[in-house]
Amino acid sequence: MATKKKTLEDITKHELVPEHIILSDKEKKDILKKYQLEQNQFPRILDTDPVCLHIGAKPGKILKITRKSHTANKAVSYRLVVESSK
Amino acid sequence: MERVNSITKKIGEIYFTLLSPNEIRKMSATKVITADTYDEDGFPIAMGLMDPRMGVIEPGLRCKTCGQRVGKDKCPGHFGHIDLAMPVIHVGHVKTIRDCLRSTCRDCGHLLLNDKQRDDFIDQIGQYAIEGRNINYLYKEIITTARKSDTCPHCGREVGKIELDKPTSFRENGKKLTPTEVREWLEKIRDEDLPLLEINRKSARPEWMVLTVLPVPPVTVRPSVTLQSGERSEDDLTHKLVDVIRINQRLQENRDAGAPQLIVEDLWELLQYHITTYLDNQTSGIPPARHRSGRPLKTLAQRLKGKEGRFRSNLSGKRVNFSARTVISPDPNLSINEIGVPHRIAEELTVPVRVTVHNIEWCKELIIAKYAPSSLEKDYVAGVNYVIKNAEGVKRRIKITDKNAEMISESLEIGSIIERQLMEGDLALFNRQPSLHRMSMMAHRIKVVPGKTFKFNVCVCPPYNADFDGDEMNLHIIQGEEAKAEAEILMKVQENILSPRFGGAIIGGIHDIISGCFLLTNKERKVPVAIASYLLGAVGYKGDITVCDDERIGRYVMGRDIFSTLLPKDMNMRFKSKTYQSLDSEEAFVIIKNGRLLQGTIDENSVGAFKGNILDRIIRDHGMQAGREFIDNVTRLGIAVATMFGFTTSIDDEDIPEQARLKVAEGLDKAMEKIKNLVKAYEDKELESLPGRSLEETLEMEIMRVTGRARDMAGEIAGEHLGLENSAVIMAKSGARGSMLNLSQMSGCVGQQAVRGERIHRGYKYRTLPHFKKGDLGASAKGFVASCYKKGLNPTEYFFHSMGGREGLVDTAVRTSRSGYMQRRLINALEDVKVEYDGTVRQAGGQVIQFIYGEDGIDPTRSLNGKAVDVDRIIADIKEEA
Amino acid sequence: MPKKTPTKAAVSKKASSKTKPVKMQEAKDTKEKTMKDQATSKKQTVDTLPLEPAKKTKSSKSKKTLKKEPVETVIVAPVEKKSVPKKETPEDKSIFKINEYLTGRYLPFKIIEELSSKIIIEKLEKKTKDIVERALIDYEKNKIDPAEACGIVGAQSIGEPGTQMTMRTFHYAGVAEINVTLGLPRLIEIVDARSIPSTPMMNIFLNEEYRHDQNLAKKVANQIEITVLNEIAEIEADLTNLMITVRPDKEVIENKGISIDDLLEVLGKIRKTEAKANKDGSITVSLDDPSYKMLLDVNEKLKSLKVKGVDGINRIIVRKEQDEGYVIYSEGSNLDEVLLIDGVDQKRTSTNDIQAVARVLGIEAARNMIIHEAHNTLSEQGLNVDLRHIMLVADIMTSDGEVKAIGRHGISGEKSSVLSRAAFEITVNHLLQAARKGESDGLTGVAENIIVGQPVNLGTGAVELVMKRTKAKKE
Repeated sequence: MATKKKTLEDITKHELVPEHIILSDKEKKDILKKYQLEQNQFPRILDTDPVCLHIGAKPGKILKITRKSHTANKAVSYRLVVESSK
Repeated sequence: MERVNSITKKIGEIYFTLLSPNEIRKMSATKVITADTYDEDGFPIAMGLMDPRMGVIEPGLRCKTCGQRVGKDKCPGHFGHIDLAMPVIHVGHVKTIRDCLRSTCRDCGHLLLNDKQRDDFIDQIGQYAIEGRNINYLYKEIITTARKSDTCPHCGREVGKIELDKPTSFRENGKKLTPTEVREWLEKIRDEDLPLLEINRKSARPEWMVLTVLPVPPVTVRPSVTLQSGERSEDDLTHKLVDVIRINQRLQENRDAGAPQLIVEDLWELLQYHITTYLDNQTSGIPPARHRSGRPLKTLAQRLKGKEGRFRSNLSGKRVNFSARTVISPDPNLSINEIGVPHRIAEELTVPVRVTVHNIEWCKELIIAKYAPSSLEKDYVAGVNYVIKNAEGVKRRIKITDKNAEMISESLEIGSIIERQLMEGDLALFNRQPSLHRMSMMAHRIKVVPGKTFKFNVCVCPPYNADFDGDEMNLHIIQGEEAKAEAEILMKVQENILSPRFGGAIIGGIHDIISGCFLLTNKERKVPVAIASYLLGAVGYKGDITVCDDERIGRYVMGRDIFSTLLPKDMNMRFKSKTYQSLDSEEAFVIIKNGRLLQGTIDENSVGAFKGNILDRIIRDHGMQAGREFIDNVTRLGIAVATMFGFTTSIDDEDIPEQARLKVAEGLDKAMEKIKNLVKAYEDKELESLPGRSLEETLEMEIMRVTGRARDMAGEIAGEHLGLENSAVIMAKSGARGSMLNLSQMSGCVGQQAVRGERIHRGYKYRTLPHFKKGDLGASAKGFVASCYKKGLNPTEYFFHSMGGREGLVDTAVRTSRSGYMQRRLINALEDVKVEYDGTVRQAGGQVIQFIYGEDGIDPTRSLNGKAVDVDRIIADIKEEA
Repeated sequence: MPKKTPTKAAVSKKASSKTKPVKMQEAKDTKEKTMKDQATSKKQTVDTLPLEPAKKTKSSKSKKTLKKEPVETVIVAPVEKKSVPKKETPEDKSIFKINEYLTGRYLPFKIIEELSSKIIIEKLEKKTKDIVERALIDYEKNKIDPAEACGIVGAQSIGEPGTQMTMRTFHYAGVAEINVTLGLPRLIEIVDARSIPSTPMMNIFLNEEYRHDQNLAKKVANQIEITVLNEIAEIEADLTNLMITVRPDKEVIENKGISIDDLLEVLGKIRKTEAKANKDGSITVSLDDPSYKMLLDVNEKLKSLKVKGVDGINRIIVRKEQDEGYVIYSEGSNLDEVLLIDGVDQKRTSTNDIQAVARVLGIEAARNMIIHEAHNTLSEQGLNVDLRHIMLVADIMTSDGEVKAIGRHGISGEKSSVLSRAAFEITVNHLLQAARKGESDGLTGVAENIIVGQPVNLGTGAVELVMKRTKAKKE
């Protein structure tokens, strides 16, 4: 087909996708300490997730996600990057 | 078996394992050999299936093993066992057995993986456990990898192909594997390999999956029933066990006598079949075992599965004592917190009270209260039904009758428990099924009333979703002190006025109460003094009120002053009432200043259940108690007003004057013309189709539009002639019940009937009814009802109307089951999600779901319709202070 | 599962291999930018990372190479609420003051915003401290209590209105021409995390230049809408010579923007055939092994051969909206491919297929989509359900990194308690498997405690009274 196809640009600019930031190891320890959590108690995100691939997050890292919210306008959440089993 | 009463044990953990043959033999009370149950005298045979060593079912007999009798906390029954002549495969474990066989070598028992692969997998298993990920993929991978090898890496034997013939026979390379061979193979599997096969070596060895000993359930698990004719009918399980034992015996005899291989194998297969159906009668691939009558037997698996099974029907939900159920009826004079309980129920249900040094006198009086001569004058006197004494370590429950009341009263000791009948003020849980949300079960205070029905305040209907067309509701009496405290503080109706679903009130004025308030406050209503006194008396107002004088009416009180007596003194509000919401002028607003209603009409927007502004403000500012009082008073006031003003409705409320009717008919005729033209245009192929739609679709859409507009037009004309003196209009406009649509259907035109969003198409070939020509696409042929309800529908219109109505009913029926299932799944998935002390929302295992509940930590019940803080209010208040 | 991986991998790999993670700007600038965004923006734009534009490197590396390169990212310091903005608009100033008075206590940002704008309107700057104190008191009053059983309450709040929703699915919503599933069936679809909804639909927004030009909009629409060979050309089967002649209609082809070369390309893809263009504008398709049966087969294939358009899109409506310009609505959904088409606004185009959103845009986007769809479904029926309950359900469904169903194939089936699973569905197998695995049920959840007959670990059951014994007083 002679249609001009582009490649997918930055999906993080899509209005549905919030901001994902990778935390440093020290920050990861801080968060684990603050909430008294073990690593496997975090909500998870797969390493094959399009955003993870985009920012290059590796399994074991924690992402800090700043969502816009209808209730509080901005809310912070964290996700652990896990290896996908598929 | 003695139970120590003081320390309540808490079960910490339940551990599941497989039973090994040794354990089965150890725990058995007797070996079962004969298939006969009872002998000629009716006594159970020793070594038979109903051996008394396995438990007792007849009251009065003692169990031979433990010496207890039948009843609660007595003999629980004991297992027996059957030694099988030859091993049999357990049908529930078949898939796992197959996987084990496929992954291991027959000669040496090693897993068909080389060392590197094995270590790899073990590492991965460990890692997954740390990460908490789903391991199922990994186990499947292990099995597929092991299957791939052709020869065993340890002993070099060639690996055969294992097939499973449903349900329990295995074949290796086409040759049948007997259960004995399978068992030998499984015995060879080493302990170190078991974790990779998803078997825990502490709880199960693979060879236990092939049965050599069958445990026999106790007699209490499969009791026999004595029919009216005197015969004993055995339980399904007993029947099945009889089959198993018989075949087992035959197999034993034949094998010992050296019968030909074929017969032995046949009998073995039969034994396998019987044991498989004993464990699960719904196994796919084999015919279910049936009774003589043809009905399939209910064996072990069926007892556990499904909605009627052990789990869902006896464990997750049980039948309970101290409960009652009857029809409900309304009573506006009760507070919303109260419930009227009939005498007979109050006398039957009891509350346990422990006798202590503080209340022993009162208890003694209570026991004889019912038989004292003064009790005959009163309607209801609470008495005592039972006394539980602790005599010599044994509890005895003594019923109180008029003969022994005095004696028991004298001999009452401290430490006994009396079960007294219900008195005013006791707490009870009131519930209506289906219990869809937590407000379907609330705590009420009991008020004992004559009659046979439960009575409660009308305003509490919405949370229960109850109406009084014959609904029944359940009552549960609270037994313990802890439960009583919890119910009082958390479950009382007044604590549940706000709904967690949207943060607004769910209990409030409905129906007649709103009509009453409307009548009282609409258009500067003046109430004659006599009626006003009655109204104020209904509310219980003790104070001053302004009385004015007028020539025509005499002394009167303003309706809004009467209403103002219910408002707190510091209330200032301004909002639009529902009746006049379409107007924008000043008079559409309800204005309250310093607790006095200055202008406006009170209706649904003020005191209604979901939208009541006044109700909302009172609850948030003054608390639940004030809210409850307000609702109680508004109920009494509203109903008193409706009574005194004679609010009623009749059929001539739907009458419209002749000219209006002519206008409506004219409008409808025009609409029919339009439709005829559309149809003609369509048939002449002159119709322009809408983009993306076919011609037929366009035609249908246009016609639907025309019919819709026709009905609206009829409704408008009717609405012009029905004013606010009309009771039906009052109810519709104030939000009490119904809408203007109902009125326009009653006086104007019913409108187009629709099935599945479209006009009526189905019926005869090419037409809906034989009254019409084939291919008729006109309005009345496809379900347009031009008449109004008052005028009456003609036969074809009636038929189409019933088609549309039927769709609604079917919709409701299907909807309840589907939404019920969805709710069940949602509840099951979310049930252990809880807010922790640090604000995070976590599941049972500690996994975090949200870091702050709802991203801002606000309770939806207390939120202002979703908002965290009422900013407007704060600003307004601060402004006032300035 | 495996079926979708190829496309998914292709798209996302392409995207990621082209952008390298970049250095971040200094923290100060970040704060300023985001502060300004918060204060002034009314429209909902995503708070994006203030990155330098991603440098596109040409690489055709596959997934494996990406994994091998260790990538380090420099982290942006988390945005703090209390900070001094550089440019002081009146809103910033008042927000700043509010934050001062807050002294580290937490108030949701939305409230801060609202308070600040109201303060400015009503000119109550002097009373800011009182207002903040009052707001804090109210906030604390309205907070949720610990040990609250928010899961059950949420499930009930969503399930109970279900009985009031219609099952009637046929209703034209939004755009009058497109059918969308509504009401209870749609809610069940969302909760079940179905791979493809029964009425997939896309809202395709166009880029700035394309939005206001009708022709350009039509061009994009043509690229998306499926065109079948039958519609644009006449297909003649020549039985004697065992050939098929395809005669495209010149006008229609031009309208749709298809060229003969395009046709040749598509026709050439049919196996065991050869396509040649003729001078008069028609194309001859000849078979490699001539056989009668093959001819008929190919003839049939040609009739429904897709010439142009995106797979899965059945119908397109182009509409001019008020503020938006031209917007394309489509029946049928294929997010992966549509986003790549020229002129399509990649920032706003969306679909109602939740699994597709998870695949292309990530799990957080899927979570937002679930909330959005569920809320729409409920409010369209006139039911008012607090967003927090829906958010909780969405969070549970996406807590594992992929969108899981509520039900025994998803969340409920993966619970750690044996009794809970057994009580829910498929009783016997679960019990047996638990015995084999030697599973132990810790009785931490609700269902198992009810079965056993103990108080549950939620609400009042999570609290225990302890008495402190003091020494007996001397008489």
